[in-house]
Amino acid sequence: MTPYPPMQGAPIQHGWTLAGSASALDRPGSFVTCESGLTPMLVVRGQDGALRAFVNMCRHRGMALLQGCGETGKSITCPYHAWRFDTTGALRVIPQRATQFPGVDRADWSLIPGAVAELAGLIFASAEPSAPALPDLLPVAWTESDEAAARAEGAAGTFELEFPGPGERVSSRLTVDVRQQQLVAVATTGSPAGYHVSVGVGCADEADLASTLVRVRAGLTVDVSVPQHEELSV
Amino acid sequence: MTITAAPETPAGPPVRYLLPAEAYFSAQWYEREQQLLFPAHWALIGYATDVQSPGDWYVGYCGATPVVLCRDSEGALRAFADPDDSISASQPTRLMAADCAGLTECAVDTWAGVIFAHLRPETAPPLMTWLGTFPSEAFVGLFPFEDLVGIDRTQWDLDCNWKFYIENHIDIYHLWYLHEKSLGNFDHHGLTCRSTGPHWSCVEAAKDPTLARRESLPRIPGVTDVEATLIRANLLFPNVPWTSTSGNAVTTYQVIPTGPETCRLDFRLRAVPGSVISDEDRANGRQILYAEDGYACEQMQRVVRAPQFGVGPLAQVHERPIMEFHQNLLTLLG
Repeated sequence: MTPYPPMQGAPIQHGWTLAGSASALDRPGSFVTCESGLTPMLVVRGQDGALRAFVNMCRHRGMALLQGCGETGKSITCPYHAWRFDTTGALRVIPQRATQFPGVDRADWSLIPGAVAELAGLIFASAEPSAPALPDLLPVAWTESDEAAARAEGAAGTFELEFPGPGERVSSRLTVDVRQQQLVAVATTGSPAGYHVSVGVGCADEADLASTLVRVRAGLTVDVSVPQHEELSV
Repeated sequence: MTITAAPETPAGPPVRYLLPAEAYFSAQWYEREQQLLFPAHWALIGYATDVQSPGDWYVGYCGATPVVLCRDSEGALRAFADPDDSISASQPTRLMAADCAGLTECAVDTWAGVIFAHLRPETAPPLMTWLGTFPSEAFVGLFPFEDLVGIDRTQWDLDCNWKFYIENHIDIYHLWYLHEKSLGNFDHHGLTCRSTGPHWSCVEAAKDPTLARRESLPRIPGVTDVEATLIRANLLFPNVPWTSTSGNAVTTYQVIPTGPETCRLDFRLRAVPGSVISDEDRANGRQILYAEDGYACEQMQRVVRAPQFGVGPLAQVHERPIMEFHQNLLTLLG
């Protein structure tokens, strides 16, 4: 067995970061969260079917609106003071607005938009709304192919993925530092020839997730165990 | 000053969030607070019951600075700043003032069975001057504080700056939403706020008084029927929430800064001697103070380092205490 080389390469620039898998965002109201640099982000599929990325921050007190991934329905409601945004980011409800917020215009306090991209079955987000297109930033071309599709439901932290080599059922190991999620994408090009691996690790809600599905170009599909939260060296 | 929570016409200039984001994560802000803010105030560091006999000792905190409290052979209370936590490290069986040679002595005084220390005795005002009208029925209610004993203590570590927790404590607006169920039996629209100096207080009544009582604890003798329907939430500036519920318990939960982005809640509940809090009541307290309030504060800490972080308009009345808290901080921190 030839060990995989350590993942190397510059992080994707302009804040692009892996947010999750497209399959996690296949319904209106479904969302994932991620970090773009120091900025918490959320990506939500709107009622109109469009994907949008926003800074994961209520415009009232700055609280993170959503955690992990899941369904938020037709609106995003801050748990702190119940300010409510729709899935286009528009502020719809300020509780007690007439008496407590006289003169405040809801239109001034929409969610802060970011950028979103879908590539090879993975969703990426950036806190920079005018970030250059993601494919232009990758060190080599990332071609979307059937084999490269991946469904990602992992956990935040550092863990090892095991997957078989081409044509042989030999486990190899690839360490993925999910805190540096940009490296996950670089790993696609850093793998040995013949291996184009897409690994999605977009959901930070460790408690709900137990496995990651990795699909390699050779067409082999394996389930990969993800350590439980307590075992992660975060 | 007294403010009713729901005036018909909010008045005055817009209520704003005055502190910059850096105040919640930078090491420089943290150090300035330790040097300029906490040494300028009396700090609640313990209770008389913590050091009842000569040789008893206890470690409380003034900001992040450990303060060793002991009772000397004449029965007098003594307090010493112990920034290196040397006394805790050595864990003496008994401690007298003579054992604290080399540590800087603090001013120490008591009110209501509560022991306060001041890191700078030479500039400390009299304790009662600093408390203002806080020790009054309007603020803390009429309780026989000195007859109460500690019956429960819990410490929670939170991943948030200590100020986020204090701001949450004095935020009236969140009561309707974050605590929709856990405090749903209280009439937030009838809530009244007061301040004396930098200290703050609010009181509200239960909608259904029969649901207000913490059933596992007996009524504190001498407490009125009206008091038994109230919940009080006070703040001893800058970092000690002081609450009472339903006439049968008085709690303090000092929010101890443990780093620029971390703090520890030291929750101490006092009640009638011999009373025992039930698991259900303890769980209810944990739900409100940790699972709900602590969660909200940690979720703000998650965002505060983002370049996009910002706070929008604040509720004209229900969040005004936050702006006043900031003003009091900035008076000392510039």
